[in-house]
Amino acid sequence: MSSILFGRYLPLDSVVHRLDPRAKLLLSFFYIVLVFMANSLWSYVILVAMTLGAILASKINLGFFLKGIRPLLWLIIFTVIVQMLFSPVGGHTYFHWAFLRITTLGIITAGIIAVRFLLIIMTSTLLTLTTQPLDIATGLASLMKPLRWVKVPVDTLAMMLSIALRFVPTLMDEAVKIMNAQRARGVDFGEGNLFKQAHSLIPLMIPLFMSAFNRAEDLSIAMEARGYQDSEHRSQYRILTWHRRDTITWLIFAIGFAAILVFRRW
Amino acid sequence: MDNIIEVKQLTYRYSDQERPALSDINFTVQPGEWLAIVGHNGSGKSTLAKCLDGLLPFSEGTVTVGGTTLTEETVWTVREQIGMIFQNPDNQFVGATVEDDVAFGLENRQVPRDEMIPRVQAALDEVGMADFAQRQPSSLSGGQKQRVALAGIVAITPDILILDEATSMLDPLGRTAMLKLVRQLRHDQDLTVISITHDINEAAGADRILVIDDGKLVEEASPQEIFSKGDQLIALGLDIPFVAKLKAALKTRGIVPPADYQTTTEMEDWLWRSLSNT
Repeated sequence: MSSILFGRYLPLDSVVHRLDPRAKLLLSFFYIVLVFMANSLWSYVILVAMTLGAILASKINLGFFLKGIRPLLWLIIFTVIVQMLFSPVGGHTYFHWAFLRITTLGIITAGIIAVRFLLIIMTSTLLTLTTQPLDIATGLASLMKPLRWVKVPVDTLAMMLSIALRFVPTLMDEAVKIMNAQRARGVDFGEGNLFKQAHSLIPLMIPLFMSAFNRAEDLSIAMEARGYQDSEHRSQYRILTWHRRDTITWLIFAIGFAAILVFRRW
Repeated sequence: MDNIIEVKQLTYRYSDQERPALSDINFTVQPGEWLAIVGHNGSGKSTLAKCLDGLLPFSEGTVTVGGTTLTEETVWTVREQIGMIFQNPDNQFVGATVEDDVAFGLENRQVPRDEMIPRVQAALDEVGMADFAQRQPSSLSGGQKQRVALAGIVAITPDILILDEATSMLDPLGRTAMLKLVRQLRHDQDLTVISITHDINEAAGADRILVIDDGKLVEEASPQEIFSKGDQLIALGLDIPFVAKLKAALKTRGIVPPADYQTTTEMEDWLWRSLSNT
């Protein structure tokens, strides 16, 4: 069950952990944009160096990142193979059958796709390993604030996100309890063919949904009793503070980003 | 002294039901009093609590809290004066961490952050949860979550505390600790307490007990008077302890458990032993 929990936060004391979540979110965002813009050897060298540098600074064992890649390994292999077989003609052709061909260009494009995949997965894994889900939510809410001007209910969305995160472990526990109760009544989870497995989820999902709705109703009454009227007219207890280390990190990365753009083939 | 709460001819009907959940309820509460409201499941006692806080819109009767008559316009003024704790510890924990949850009520009242920090800290100190400020709710016990809920109420300094079966999902130890804490808070903060309960110990600590049955107020008396009725307690909706209930149920089936087994664990051991012997 714990493997599906997104944001497996790894509490360590490192410079990356202490960074403002907004700094990390924005860096990850621009990094991913640049991963897709990079097209020369040097631009990739810089991207890899950035990721490895950040991982090193986070003090997290590289093994964790490999674990993060494992569930997506088949997707990567599949994409690489498809890319290799269906790529446009270019360079030397090594293999040709009907509409399938493996060419130099195809191999290079496939290689680039694999590298992009790995870099993006590693960066987002680094983000979730070093930032608590709650901080990511607070950071996102804070970054979305300008959207208030176009009437996006940012505060309500932030409240929803925070409550959703808070109830993830509660509902997980509940799911385990219901599963045990249904097992005691003779339900086999994860047995038989795909259809049977899906069917066995019904006695889990229905009670879970009912309980979630009951909880939601209780929670809304409790929130109202505690004076909650709307998300806009509230003060904030949890705030984020931008430190000098955030600015410094941003400057370092900005130089890297600029270098990538310079080394890119335009 | 003037009554802090006055309820007159209160009638409440759920929209999908013919019979009213509450009919013609009249009572008053003195400032500083501890009032217990007891009754069977479905007797309407929780509905009554929700009506007092304006959480259910009633159409007949009046509720006056601290001199303010409860209407759609005054509901937030009334809620300022009332802190409510509900049954399920999980379903009233809004914040992502203990301190965030205590701050929730303050955030709703737009208290500036500089003022919130000491108030949250003081409230957590008061309930003895200061060491848990950064903890997430999933790492707390039910009793600890209810303590945090109490801290959330201490932080907003209401005049009235309503416990809506707040101890019913706790284990006996958590229940005793919670009641002790409520007693201490009542003393420290000059609170008027209304506790809706099944629990004999909780009702026994009250100054006065209201008994609600089938939506009607059937009895209003001091704990001594109510408890002198003995066996009728169960009929009135007070719970005798689970082990005693289990023993009584076993006896009617001709199984006599040893009289000196009092705790749940002892009874559990004894049941297992008897089951494995047969």
